[in-house]
Amino acid sequence: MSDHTSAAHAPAKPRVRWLSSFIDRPRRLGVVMIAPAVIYIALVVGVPFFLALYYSLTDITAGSRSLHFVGLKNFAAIIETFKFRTALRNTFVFAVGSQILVIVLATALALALMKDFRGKWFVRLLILLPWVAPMSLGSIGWLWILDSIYSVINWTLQAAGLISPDNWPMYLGKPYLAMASVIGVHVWRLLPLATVILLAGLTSIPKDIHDAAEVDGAGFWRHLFQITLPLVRPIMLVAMLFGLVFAFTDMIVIFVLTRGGPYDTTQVLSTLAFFTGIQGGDLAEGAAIAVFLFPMLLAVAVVFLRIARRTEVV
Amino acid sequence: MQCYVIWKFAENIAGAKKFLIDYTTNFRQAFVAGEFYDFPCWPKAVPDINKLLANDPKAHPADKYKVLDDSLSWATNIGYPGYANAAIDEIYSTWVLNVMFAKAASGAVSPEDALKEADVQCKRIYAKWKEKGMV
Repeated sequence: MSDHTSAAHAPAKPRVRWLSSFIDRPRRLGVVMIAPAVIYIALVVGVPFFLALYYSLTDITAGSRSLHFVGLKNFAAIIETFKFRTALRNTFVFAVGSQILVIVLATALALALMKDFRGKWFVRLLILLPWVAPMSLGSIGWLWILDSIYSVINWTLQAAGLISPDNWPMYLGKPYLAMASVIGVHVWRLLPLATVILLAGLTSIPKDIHDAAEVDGAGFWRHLFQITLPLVRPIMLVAMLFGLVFAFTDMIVIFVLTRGGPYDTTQVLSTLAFFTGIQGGDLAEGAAIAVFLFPMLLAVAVVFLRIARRTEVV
Repeated sequence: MQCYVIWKFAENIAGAKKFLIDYTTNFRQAFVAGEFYDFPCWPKAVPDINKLLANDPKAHPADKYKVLDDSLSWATNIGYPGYANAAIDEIYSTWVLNVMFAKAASGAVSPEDALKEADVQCKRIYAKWKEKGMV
């Protein structure tokens, strides 16, 4: 019996030993477990990114299979164009404008959601919905809401007697309104993410700090500016970094709502890169437009993460 | 608006040419099968186009598309009075002409300045594609 048992277990022993020794070595196990994520990022993000960098230094087009190295010629060419400079300015207005709104609104929302009230879970669900819904679908919804003829906003304003039928604002047809509209929709889209990140930061603040301040007679604003905001600053910077990178690189909202119009007043670098590189066939110039802001975004990311690390609460 | 091209590196260039010839010479069939989605470039390609547009059995009312009767006299190909090419495609895709008209029409700039701006862009795009040997 004992012979039979030992014979049955004999082949399994080396495998078990190998597995346990593998699990006991965190260094190797860590490498294996993180490998799928690294491979995924390398293939889905790394390869296209380095390909775009490479393309931006060549004369590649959509109509030819050959390409030649041209150095920084594409960058020099795009900087000279009025269209590019307009898109660059619009990109900053769009990204910075939307981020200021996102951070202010997300802070207010997160503070409100920290309080206990009836139906809190439902409000949280509603706030998260824009983030869960596909961006293109949400943007198409906004396209109808902001439409010059079918706008539900205008209909409501007219029904309330605030505007007359011949005085409907054309949200996507006037330069300033169009920019405000695309910023508004982008804020609607990014607000949930920033709120959730800030909410996580707020819950990590030890309650006794607020209690002590309360005893000392601190009011709401003192709590906010001298306790809450300084303590959530690291995580707020992370939220801002995410938001800025999204705003600088995303093109869905503008593509769906305005296609960069009216007359390029909402054209940003990501949409211009798409129209030039993919639809216009000049892959090299499109790639140059797309990667133009990469050094600046990288620098912003490094600075933000450094500040966040320095101000981290231990 | 679209145009058909045959890649230089296509595996069956002769077959592709034959397809385009068959397609354009039998365009009436394609026009009807496509439920009037693609209009012909040449009026004679669909000789009875007005009759077809005036009585579409799938439309409500049946003469819904009659307004397009004379569309071939005022619509033209992209690149007119020339033909579509790589430079025209980029001008079209980056909204150069739309922006020119919109700027002039809205009063953002004078018509002369809008024209000048578009002219500079078109010339740059043409020069670029010429240099690439694709125009």
